[in-house]
Amino acid sequence: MPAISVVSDANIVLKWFHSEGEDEVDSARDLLDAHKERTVALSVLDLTVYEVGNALMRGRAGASAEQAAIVLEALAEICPAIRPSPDEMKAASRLAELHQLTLYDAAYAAVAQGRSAELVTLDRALLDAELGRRPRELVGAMATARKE
Amino acid sequence: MQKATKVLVTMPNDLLERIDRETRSLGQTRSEFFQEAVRRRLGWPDPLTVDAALLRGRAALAGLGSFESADVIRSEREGRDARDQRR
Repeated sequence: MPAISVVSDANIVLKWFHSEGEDEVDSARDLLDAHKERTVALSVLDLTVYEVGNALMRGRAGASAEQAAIVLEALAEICPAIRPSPDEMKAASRLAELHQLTLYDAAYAAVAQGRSAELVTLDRALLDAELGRRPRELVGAMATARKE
Repeated sequence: MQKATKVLVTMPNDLLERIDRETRSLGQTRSEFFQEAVRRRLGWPDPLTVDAALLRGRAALAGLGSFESADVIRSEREGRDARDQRR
């Protein structure tokens, strides 16, 4: 079975490293196991690095610069960070307008669509717009597909 | 971020011209293009590398306390978007 390409939202990436108070940690980490087994090809956006770093250092997480740097270095070793192409950014603009999303949200969806990948997210706006899937749902669908 | 090293690579002019056309259309630098192509060629990272990276990252965040990442990222995006709209 060919590997499934999955673009991971920053909120899922954080769950790879942090678990206290998090929903769907097991499913988010199951995707990492599938990535190691090469049944899933995970990627993030170049934007993800900034979002994760900013959320850790400037959000309520309250991480130090050293803690954030270790996580970002680890992330770079786990999966590639995609820089959206000009065509993908055009598509992102259209999605942002259509679904009233921030361009940051829409960029994830546009890259996933442009590369025939699944977008895995727990972001309410992306899920409501049906532009991404929850990790639990995606992991469940993969398990079902393996059985068939 | 990881350390990077400059390398000197020799290739035919016609291939380089194709690469430059492609990087222009993608809005990438040559370095970004080569890195992405090589990662694709080499495939996934070694699972041991992934495990070691996860261990380091999780150890760094141990004791950080309780939060839901979806809320933290949502709040960060909305804050950034609001600042962009004020500009």
